[in-house]
Amino acid sequence: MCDTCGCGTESHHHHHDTEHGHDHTHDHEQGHSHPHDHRHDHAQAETTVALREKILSKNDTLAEKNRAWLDERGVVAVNLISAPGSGKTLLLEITLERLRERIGCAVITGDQQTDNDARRLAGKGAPVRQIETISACHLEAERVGELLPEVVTPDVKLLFIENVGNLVCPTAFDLGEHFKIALLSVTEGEDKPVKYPALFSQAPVVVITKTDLLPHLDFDMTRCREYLRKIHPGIYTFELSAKSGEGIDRWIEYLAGLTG
Amino acid sequence: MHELSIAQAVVERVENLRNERHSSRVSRVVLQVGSLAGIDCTALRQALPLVVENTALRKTEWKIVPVAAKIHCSACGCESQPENCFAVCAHCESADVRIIQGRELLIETVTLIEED
Repeated sequence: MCDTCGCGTESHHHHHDTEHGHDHTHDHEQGHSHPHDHRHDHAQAETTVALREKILSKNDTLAEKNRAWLDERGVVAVNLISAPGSGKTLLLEITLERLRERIGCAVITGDQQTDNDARRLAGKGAPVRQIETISACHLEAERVGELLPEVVTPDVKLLFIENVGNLVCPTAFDLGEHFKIALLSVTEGEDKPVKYPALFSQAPVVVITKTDLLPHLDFDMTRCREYLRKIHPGIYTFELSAKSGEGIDRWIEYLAGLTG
Repeated sequence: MHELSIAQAVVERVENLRNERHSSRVSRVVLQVGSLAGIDCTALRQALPLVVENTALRKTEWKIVPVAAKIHCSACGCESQPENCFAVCAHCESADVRIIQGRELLIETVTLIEED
């Protein structure tokens, strides 16, 4: 099969080394000279529309709308992304408890199924809504936008969007957040940032979690920091344990500073 | 993993365009997928036929054009193609680089069939 067009022909050659990022005037029919089985009659006319449009433009537009809605209310929104089980929910539990007397917080949390996370996060002084994506591996801007008026009550200044546990897909979908925060637990290995660069190259902040487990692991923190800097020069890192409380103060002060 | 969502977004947009233009069919759609867009072209190619079932795009030819990553170095001003995920200038090895190509996820062209 031809890898370029998937047409099942091997005997032709494409010429795709043209520069991109400029207006296209070349004809993509060139270099694609083998016959396809077209049975249209010639009374029909073909029109080629040069769309040059982002595939996710609908999601991007809704995300911009969400961001504008949040900006009008002076709310800062962060999109928490990590592999499943890296400690997003426990970190949020501790964070909500620590911030409850200081800053109005709210949470939208996503999972494929169950409202277990929403129940864990309830009763900590912050409105919480769960999105069950069922089959989807990521949150999208449309559903987040529907929940904003429910979850962002007048005193809310900081919104946490806890994405579906997945290091790849959620990075493609802007939700209207102001920035992404990546979580990486020490049990995942220090090379996670280079194995899954998409998230770590986009997120300006990374939280290395479960540091209380370091004595039991061969996790190389120095190398992890080097990998992060290589993938994303200037990335801001936290190293903490929501279990032991180590490093939590700095994280809380950082979040409090976001809403100043 | 999210190639199915991408395929659904493409088909929705192309169907909207087809309806706006009152076309009966779409003969060809050209997509651009950058190497840094996080999309597996094979998975996308497999997802499209599933999504177009029961639509007017059943016989549409899908062409997926890969776009290689390119970076611009702020230190020496050169453009280069990064060899791996470490975005480092190929000429001076500076890490002070900006990605200028490779994040594309675009519908480039749509060829509509107008009935007479």
